[in-house]
Amino acid sequence: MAKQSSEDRIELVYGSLDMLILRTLRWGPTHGHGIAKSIERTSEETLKVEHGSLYPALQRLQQEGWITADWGVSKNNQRAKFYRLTAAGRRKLVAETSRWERFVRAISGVLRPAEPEEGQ
Amino acid sequence: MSWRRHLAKLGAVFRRSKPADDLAEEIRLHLAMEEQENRESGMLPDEAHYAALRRFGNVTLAEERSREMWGWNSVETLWQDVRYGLRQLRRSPGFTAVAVLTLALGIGINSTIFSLARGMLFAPPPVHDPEHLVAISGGRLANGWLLGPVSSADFADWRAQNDVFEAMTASAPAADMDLAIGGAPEMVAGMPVTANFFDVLGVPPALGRSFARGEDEEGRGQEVILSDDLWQGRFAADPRVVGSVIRVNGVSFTVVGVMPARFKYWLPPAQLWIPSTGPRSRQSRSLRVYGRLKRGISAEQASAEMAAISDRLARQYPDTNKGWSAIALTLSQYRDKQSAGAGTAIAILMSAVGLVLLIACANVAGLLLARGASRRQELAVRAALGAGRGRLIRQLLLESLLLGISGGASGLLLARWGIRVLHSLMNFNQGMGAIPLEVDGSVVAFTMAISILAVVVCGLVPALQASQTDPESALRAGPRTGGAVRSRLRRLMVGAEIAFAVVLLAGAGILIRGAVALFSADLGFNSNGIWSIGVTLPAAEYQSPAKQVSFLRLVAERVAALPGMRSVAVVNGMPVAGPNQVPFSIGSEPPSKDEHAPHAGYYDVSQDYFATLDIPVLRGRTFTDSDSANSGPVVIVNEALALRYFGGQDPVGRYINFGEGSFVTLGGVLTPTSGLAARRRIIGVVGNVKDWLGQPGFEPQVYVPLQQIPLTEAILVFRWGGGGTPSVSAIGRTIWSAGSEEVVVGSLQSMGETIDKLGGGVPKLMGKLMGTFAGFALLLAAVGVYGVIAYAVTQRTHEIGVRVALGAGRTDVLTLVLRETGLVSSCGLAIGLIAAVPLPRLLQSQFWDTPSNQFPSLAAVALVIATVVLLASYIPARRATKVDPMVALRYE
Repeated sequence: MAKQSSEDRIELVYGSLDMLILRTLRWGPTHGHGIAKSIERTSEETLKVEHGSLYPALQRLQQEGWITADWGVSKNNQRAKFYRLTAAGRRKLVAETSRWERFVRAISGVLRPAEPEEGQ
Repeated sequence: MSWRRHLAKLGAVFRRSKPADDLAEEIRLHLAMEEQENRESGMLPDEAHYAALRRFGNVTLAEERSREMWGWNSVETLWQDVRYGLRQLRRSPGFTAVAVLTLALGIGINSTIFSLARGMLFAPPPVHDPEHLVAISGGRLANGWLLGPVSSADFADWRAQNDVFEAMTASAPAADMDLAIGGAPEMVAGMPVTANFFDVLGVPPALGRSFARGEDEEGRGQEVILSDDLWQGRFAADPRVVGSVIRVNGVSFTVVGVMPARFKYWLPPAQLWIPSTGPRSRQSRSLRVYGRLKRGISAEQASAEMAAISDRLARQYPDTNKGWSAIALTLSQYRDKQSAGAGTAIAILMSAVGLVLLIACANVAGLLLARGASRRQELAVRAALGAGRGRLIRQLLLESLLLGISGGASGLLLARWGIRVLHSLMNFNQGMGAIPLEVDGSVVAFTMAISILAVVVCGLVPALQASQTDPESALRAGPRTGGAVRSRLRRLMVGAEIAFAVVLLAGAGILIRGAVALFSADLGFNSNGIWSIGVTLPAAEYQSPAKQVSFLRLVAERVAALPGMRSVAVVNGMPVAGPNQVPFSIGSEPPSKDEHAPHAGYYDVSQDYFATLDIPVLRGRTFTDSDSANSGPVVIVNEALALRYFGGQDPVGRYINFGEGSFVTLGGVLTPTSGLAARRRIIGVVGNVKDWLGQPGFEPQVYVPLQQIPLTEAILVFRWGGGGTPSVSAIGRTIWSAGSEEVVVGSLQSMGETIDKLGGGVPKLMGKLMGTFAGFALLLAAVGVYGVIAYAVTQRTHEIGVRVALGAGRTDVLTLVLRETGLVSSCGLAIGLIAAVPLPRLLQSQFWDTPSNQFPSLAAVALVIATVVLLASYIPARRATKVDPMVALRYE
């Protein structure tokens, strides 16, 4: 799979990285590398995520209590730290998702070309 | 940021290392996984590795930003800065020691004087609810007296007739009493009080009980309560003392209680209390009266009521009470009035120590500036590595704060010792000695406050200066280049220090001179070895004047026979102790009652008086046996009276008119004049004597013979020739043997103690304290000057070497170095002298005599300062002349 050129990748807004991580973890505990790969894959590589930027975000999410971490073994028999959503995290994800959807609808509404007026 | 994150952050501060290691491990594994994937998708191992790193981004940045998430960044960096600062200070122990000691000195003396201020002005009296306890004083508004004592008969009437007090109590002046507990008797101060004294004050004894009702009545009163000091000192704090029997003045008393320690701050202080109401008298005023206000009554209402009662009594007993009123003040107001003069004295002392602290701060600031210069490189490196100016300033201020805290803590320790010293200096006077001086919460708070202030004053400018580094030039140039701004600042500070020191020295000089003048003033008599002791005859036994006279003569004879006595006399009141005044007139009309009519100091003396005190007889003769109750009334005058009212003529044989029933005012205890007949013939003129301490010049005085005007309250004055101090018990026994044991014997005082108690002690204390502070200021200023010059020499060693090599002589080098501070020192001296000119006017409140010419003393001050500064400059400058050019040129 060819990597898209860097200009096409969109910088992520700060808070939305949190949401992406939470979303990714919805499907089960994953380690940091896995989260990074998952985001790249599901966004079709549009979203530019420097892997390093995940880690501060992961720390923050841990402090807020939305995810927890445990050391475990990956499918390659390598040691890795696995992150998991908490119940609070799950609730936060739901709330954030609906907010994001409202946000997107609002922006789209503004950006949509104006409806042609009847008979004008 | 939510509270959860706050908490997590706080926790993380204390668990730093493990999460950091975890994260590093995690990132390493992440990179490994990515590298693995890359290899699997066909990259070469090297390529895979670097591609993984690129994809990851900045590892260090990720770690740092993650760390930021946990830790409370500012707290961490602060702690880092503190540890760094401590390390830096440890690395230059000399600097740290000098700076801390300097600050400790300045802060320590400030704390000491603050505890004095607190003790004198702010400490609450050790009673229950002082706001509702009032002190009721007798007042003679015509004379301007507001805090006079009260007579026992008046007290009884007040108690019976008032409506505003729940209870009233009274205390008589403390008298010296012999305390005998199996062994040598010791003199202690015993105070007679009414039985409800401690109940009204609301301070129950710590051990045992207070006096019970009726124990103060006539014939009873064999109970005694001890003070905590006495209990600790003479009874070794044995709780079994309650109920035991002790002998006071030869009489057995049962100890019923011991007062708590904090009661020692009650004024006037005493070591034991006896229940007694004392002889009933309306004329003799010596009691202090206190009353506990009824609920809802204010001190003003009480005062009005007491004034009304007093007016009634004045109408009832015009002979003794005319013109007397009563004033009730709350205990705090009463103490404020009593220590009215203290406020200015304290202000002066606090200004003085404030100046010393400023000088100390200037010294430390100078040290910090110099240190900043030597740390240029270090700070430049930090700046180059990314530290902002703010961070550098914070670092430097933190170091100053560490110095300030150490200085403050050491200062507090110094203050504890200083307080002990101050206390021993203040013990000359029972009133002063009882002032509480302790390091309590407010003193600690004050110390902290001025430590922080000192830090800001010392550290701000050097920090701003030092942080202003240009990394490039600093790193390139050697440490030799000092800043011109820095040295200018230091020189200015030295100039200021010198100005402050001048002011302090001038002020101290004024106060010391005033105190010395007070004590060395010619009192008019020889005060060496003069002691006095009060004697009061019980009215019942000694009704007739003849009995009074014969008793006093017998007492004087017997006491004179004691070993060690050179000469004994009797007088109604000691000279220097305050005016006993009587109005008189020359001529046939009686003296007017007007206050501005001629008054003279009034002394009723025995025959040996002039000989005992060594007062010269200038004309005529003194009293002899021929001047008895039956012969013509005679009087002796002093030179001042003779000069003022008789011109240069011989007044012997002329007459003085005293009028009938003249009222004699004595300081404290009042008796009417009995038998001061209208006209008295002058038989002699004697030398002048001071009526009161600090009296400018001499005032008219008259002396009447004891045989013609007997006394019921007198003072036995004698010149002691034996070694050590006279024994009060021996004298007391002698007095009682001449009459009866009912005779009240007062405290034994030397002339020195009398003068101290009269307020001479305070100027002496002020002189000592101000002298010490001026000494400190001088020392610190000298150190400051020395520091600046020594530093300049070090900085310019290279330059000096060049000059010497080029042919500069010793004097040239000296001039070069001394020029550093020469201008500033002279300016400082000049400014200080100008500032010192208004000082005598400012300090006028501290003594009675205004010093006339101060130019000699200012010149002396200038001389002292100039000498000290020159010396402090010369010693390091001398080192400059010893510079070997070969060594200096290589010196970096």
